[in-house]
Amino acid sequence: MREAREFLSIRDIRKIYRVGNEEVRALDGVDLVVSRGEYLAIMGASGSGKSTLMNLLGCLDTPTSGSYRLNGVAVEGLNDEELAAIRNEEIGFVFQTFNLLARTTALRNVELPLIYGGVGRTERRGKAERALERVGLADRMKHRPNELSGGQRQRVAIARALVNEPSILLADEPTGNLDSTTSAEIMELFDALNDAGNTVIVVTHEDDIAAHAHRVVTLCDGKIVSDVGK
Amino acid sequence: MRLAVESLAAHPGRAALAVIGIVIGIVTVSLVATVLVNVRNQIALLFRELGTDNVFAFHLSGDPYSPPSDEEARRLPLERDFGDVIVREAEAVEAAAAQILIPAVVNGRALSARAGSAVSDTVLVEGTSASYFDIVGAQFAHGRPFTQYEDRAAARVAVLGASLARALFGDDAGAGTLGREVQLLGEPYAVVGILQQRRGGFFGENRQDSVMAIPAGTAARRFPDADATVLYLRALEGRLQSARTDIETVLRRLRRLAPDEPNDFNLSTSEQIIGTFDRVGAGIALATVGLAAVSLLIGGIGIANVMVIAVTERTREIGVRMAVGARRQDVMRQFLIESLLLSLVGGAGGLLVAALLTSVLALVLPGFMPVLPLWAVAFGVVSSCLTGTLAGYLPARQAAGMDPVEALRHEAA
Repeated sequence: MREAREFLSIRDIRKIYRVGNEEVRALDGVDLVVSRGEYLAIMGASGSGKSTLMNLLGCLDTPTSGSYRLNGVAVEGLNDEELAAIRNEEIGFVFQTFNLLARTTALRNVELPLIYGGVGRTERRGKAERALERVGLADRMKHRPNELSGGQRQRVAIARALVNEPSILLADEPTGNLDSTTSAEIMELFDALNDAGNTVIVVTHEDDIAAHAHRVVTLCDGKIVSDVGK
Repeated sequence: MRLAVESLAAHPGRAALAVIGIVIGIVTVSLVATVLVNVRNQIALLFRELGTDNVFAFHLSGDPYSPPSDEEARRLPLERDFGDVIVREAEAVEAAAAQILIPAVVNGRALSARAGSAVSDTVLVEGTSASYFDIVGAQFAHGRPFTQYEDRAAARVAVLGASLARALFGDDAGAGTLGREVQLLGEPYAVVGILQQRRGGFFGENRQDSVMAIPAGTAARRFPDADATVLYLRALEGRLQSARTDIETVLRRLRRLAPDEPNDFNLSTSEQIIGTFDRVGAGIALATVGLAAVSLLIGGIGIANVMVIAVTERTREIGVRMAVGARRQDVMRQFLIESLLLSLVGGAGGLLVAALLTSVLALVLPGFMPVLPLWAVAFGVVSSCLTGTLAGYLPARQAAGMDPVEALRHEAA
């Protein structure tokens, strides 16, 4: 019963970098289990290892040691191509700096994961339009990023993350480049997405952002120092 | 694909600089190809006009107007009555004509033709037998060829090429010009015929249009030092090869050559001369392609350079693409397509510039046809594709090999 719910689990994950002769333990034995539909915040000061953890969770990086299972797949044994497929199907990234393609329209930006997923033109267009409608940008589809406000850009990025219906929405400081009013709107969007059944993991160093989550994991020096549910 | 177009359009100046080498390479090849095709057509026309059934015999190999090699300089010229012997004895030869070439300078004086106050210094004087005009297919605009009698009697009569007639008698040179006099070395010659303009020629120039033909007998008397004689021997239809063999046999006997001695004369046909040119032309074409390869190499370096810049500038974009699921091969393909597109733009530009330049040449040069041979177009397309792929390969591999975490962390330029 419990196994079925924990669709994301990492066990004794370590990530060790060598900088010159020095060994940097970015993650030093982290265990974490996340259930479907959870709303999790990962907190910690800069250098605490939260970005490294987020890269591992997002399958952008592989651990030095330890195991990572996502939706029944042992991620640590996958090659580059399989990791790309996992990122495409299971993970939806939202970045602090939005990371939209500057010269393309909102719609084309949202279509990008579908292109790499091999989805046909018509179906792609329909899914991308629906994703943009979900984030409230039905009237901005043909706009380019430089014609959109910061909040609108982040909504496009969220639509891009949602479009493939991934297992996890992974947001790295999603409000770091936004003013407080816009930040609140974006966090309300995440709240609504979680209410609709999406698993959301937000990496942040701001308490009021973390307060939106139902569970807060705090990292320090590559280890989890607290794990508090609400 | 669309993304590739957009990213190239974002830096048009940079793209243009990158492809300039390719443009130059393709333009070079295309222009040389067009000129070669034109020269070849002109030459073909020029020699075919002299008769495709004719065998030309001369005591030297090569252009009759060029100085001979030391070895050939010792050869005796052919004699003009050899032609009659050949017609009698060579079964496949039906007619013969002789043409005595008069040097442009006689006794230290440059030859010039004058009529009244008009002077032509470019006149080409030759002594021809009465049958010459018929055998080389020269068409008369006015008047007639020489008669046998005029030839034997060394009459002072002349047939003028179209350009010479215009130069001496103005644009209205015509039937009224017949019977008028042309002065050559102070002696008067009566005009009995004017030839039509020849069709072949080098960019509208044909030396045959500047000719002042006088009877061979007259030439032999007035210019006794001019002995270089070309024989024109017309084969029966379809018997060119056997005529050639026969002529060789007869000439060897007339020249009293022992069986082990090589020919001391040269036989050629218009197809053979065109064939010789085609070999030279192919060599020139090959050398040009080699030269173009250098520009293409430079073009390739330019494209590689632009692609390296593009990959560096768009490191973060590459990271984003990878984060949303692009495989390494997707990234690789994207940059290869961009590089290919860039070089194809260069190739197309080169062909366009070449087409423009040849059109301009066609306006300036009479008789120049602005054709672009298929092999030049194929060379343009294939070589630019190849350059694009090769130049784009390393930058594309660099992009595909990026670590997504590092790429996402990269500061935007």
